[in-house]
Amino acid sequence: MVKNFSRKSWATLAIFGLLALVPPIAHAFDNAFLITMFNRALIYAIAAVGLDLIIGFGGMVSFGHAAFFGIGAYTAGILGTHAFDGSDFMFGWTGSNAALVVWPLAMLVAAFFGAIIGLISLRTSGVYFIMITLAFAQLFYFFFVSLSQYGGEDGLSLWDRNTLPGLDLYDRNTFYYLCFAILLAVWFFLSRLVASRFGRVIIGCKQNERRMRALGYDPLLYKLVAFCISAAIGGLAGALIANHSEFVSPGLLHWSRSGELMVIVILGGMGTLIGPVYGALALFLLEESLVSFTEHWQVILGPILILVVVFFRGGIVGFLTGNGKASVKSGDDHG
Amino acid sequence: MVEQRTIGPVFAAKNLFKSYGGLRATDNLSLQLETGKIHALIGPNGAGKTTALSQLSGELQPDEGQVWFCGQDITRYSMPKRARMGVARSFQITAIFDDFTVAENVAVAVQSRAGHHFSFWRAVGRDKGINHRTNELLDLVGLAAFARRRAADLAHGQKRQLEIAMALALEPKVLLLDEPMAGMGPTESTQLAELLERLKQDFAILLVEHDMNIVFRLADIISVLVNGAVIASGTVEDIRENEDVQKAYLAEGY
Amino acid sequence: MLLFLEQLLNGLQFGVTLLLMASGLTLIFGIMNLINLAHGSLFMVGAYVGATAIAHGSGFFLGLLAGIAAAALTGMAMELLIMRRLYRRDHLDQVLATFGLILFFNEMVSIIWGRQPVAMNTPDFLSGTVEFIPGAPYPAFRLAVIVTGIVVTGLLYFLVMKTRIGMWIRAGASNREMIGALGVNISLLYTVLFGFGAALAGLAGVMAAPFSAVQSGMGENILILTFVVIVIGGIGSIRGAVAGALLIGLTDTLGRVYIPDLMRLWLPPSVADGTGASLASMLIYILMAVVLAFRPRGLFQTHG
Repeated sequence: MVKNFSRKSWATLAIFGLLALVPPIAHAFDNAFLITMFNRALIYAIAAVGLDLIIGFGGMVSFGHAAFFGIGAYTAGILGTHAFDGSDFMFGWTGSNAALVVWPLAMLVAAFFGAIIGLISLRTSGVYFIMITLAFAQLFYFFFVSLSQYGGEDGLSLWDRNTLPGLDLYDRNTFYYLCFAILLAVWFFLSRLVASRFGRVIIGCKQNERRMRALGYDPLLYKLVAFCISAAIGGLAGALIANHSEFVSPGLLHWSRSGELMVIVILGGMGTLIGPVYGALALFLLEESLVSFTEHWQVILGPILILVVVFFRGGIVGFLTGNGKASVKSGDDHG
Repeated sequence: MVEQRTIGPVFAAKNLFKSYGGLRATDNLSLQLETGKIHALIGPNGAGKTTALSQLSGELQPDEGQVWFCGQDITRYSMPKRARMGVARSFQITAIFDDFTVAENVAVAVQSRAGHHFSFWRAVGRDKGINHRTNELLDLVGLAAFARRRAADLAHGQKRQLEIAMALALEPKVLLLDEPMAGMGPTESTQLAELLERLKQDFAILLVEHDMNIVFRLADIISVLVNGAVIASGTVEDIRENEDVQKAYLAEGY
Repeated sequence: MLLFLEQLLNGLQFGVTLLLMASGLTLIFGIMNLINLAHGSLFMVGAYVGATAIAHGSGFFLGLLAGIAAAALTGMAMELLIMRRLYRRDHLDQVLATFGLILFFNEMVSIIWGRQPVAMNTPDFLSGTVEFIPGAPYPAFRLAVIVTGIVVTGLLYFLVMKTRIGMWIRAGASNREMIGALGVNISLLYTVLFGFGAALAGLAGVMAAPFSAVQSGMGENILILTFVVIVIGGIGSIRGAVAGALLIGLTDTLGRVYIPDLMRLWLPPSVADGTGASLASMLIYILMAVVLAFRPRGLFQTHG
């Protein structure tokens, strides 16, 4: 196991090192757009790492994670709109543009709806769970389409990026490194979490829920908390994407977006936490290169996905660490 | 939990009934478990032994009747709640966590007793309290040498031993064991029988078992289940000589 | 009142389309334990091929047959090339692989047919109306859809529950090895069954084509609704699928008609129509949430 562990550490170091070097490299090639592009991948990576917690460790295949992404983005968009024109949002509050207010709120709102969706869907499992989470995401998709006062189908422009004391979020480098730091923090927190007592419980629930019940655990409670944590991280990523594109629309909640997030997790290697970072990068690089090749790039991406699923089971990280089947383990050995 | 050295049964089922469609799976089942005694539940295939055990452990709700534990009616309590109170069970088909190591399997059970399941930060693998207790239990069932092996890679008999260790980790008062010897070789069965004999003084044990030699060796009381109903209950001698029991078993070809 | 009756029939017609989709999907899920997101793509293939054939003068029935055949062949090719590698995989792998298929098919149809929606007209002999409710002439084609849907689902039920093939199928679902030992070629049976489920989707696609724009991505809208039908009805329950399909068909259709009207009571008409339509879209998901809150395994939950 020691060998595996160190290989995974190398894989972790390598990808984070690479991501840290993106801005200087981009400047060296005089291509600032690269930073924007990689920044997008970073934000998706944050959401996907959060999704890996429940898919890879908790065994909850959520096909509706874009809902939380969108909820977070709309939280930022709606609060920002009111802050911009000074209109009343709710109870005399005119919204906010401060990241320290908006981003935690985005997480809270996402976690709140995560709790509601989770309470209903976690009582089922397997295919049922997949279908129900998908349907719930669709509910929120149509909700935002119908929200005509916030742009409805056309979406909503963010007039200003959020503000953070001492940082200029309009600066490409600053925003990039901020997102990078958040990704690191989320990854680190979740790495600790899956090796903690709580982590042990949700991994146990994935493997054998009945056994967990016989051992005195109520799986629903633990799964629900994990689901909410994952939703909150999705909400945070949503608030970041709203700042990144300065625009939110129901497209963020489209069902295919949920699929994309799942693809990122699997492509990178589920149950590894670092895998989704690889997955996000790989998917975006793949898309960019296919787009330059043909406008019908999805006709190539689709079969690639199928091949990955059929022949390449552990994802990129599984390949790098020599684990055909990515193991779902708490990080620490016993002793 | 408050230490309750009650005299008499620590665990009792009273008049349990359970039907599926028109089929009576459990028919007026009553039994009592006492600390220091092994109560064996035997019966031909399809007699409803596992269904009965599921009602005792809380996985199934009986249609009628009650389950009592330490003077408390626990009929409506869920399986997790009963487990936390001190009713542990093992499964007929081995139920362990395949992807955990052997030690992790036991540790997750130890943790159930230790609590703090919402600790998100400290590494459970380095938790001295949990590891200490885990090692004790592995020693007890004789799996210490395999602590770091992936549970799925254990031999069948070892998996059964692991299950016992997990049940014991709950520090239960009652052990409900569903055919713990199933699929074991003779040596392994004997070892497990010896372990149960050693454990017996501290627990009230219900042993669902097929192997008559083991039952006659271990049991203090035997109840015979046929078509969901107890047709006889008594000491080993009573049951050996009971004609109804012989008929029921002869009909099955035993 | 007559308008209401007409809408009720429209809801029934939509429900029948959903039922055909749900039947194919649950047939495949129940027997092969496979969740196929690309079932919607088969619906789309049926619609495109049917609409194109008819537009080129094949006549309605040939067009219908072409749509069904195209969907069935596509389904069987799918099964042979990909799905059979996935039967023993977990549902996550199946979801991902079939998600890849969706991307492929959606892009493929826009390569072949372009990004503009394709229109399909109702056939001449069914373009009239039938006045089987006095005073309420009802489009003959819609009526034909309802009747076809009911007949096909009835036949399917008969096939699965009462015939020898149905017995093999049900036995195969519960015990692969046993049925293999009886000398039935399981691989072939599965391919044929998959094609059959695909044919049902193709049929639904052609029948729905005149009412909706035939375009890339149409399959997923109906697929997600089909999921809702299955979830509400309860997986593996035929009665559940019927009840779920009717419930969703009616709720969706009536919601779309009456919610905007309702919204006009307190919103300006331009806003009311848009908002009302999306609220109507939300309605079925809210219905699903309510059903699941009280019956986590659906209306007709099966044991275990």
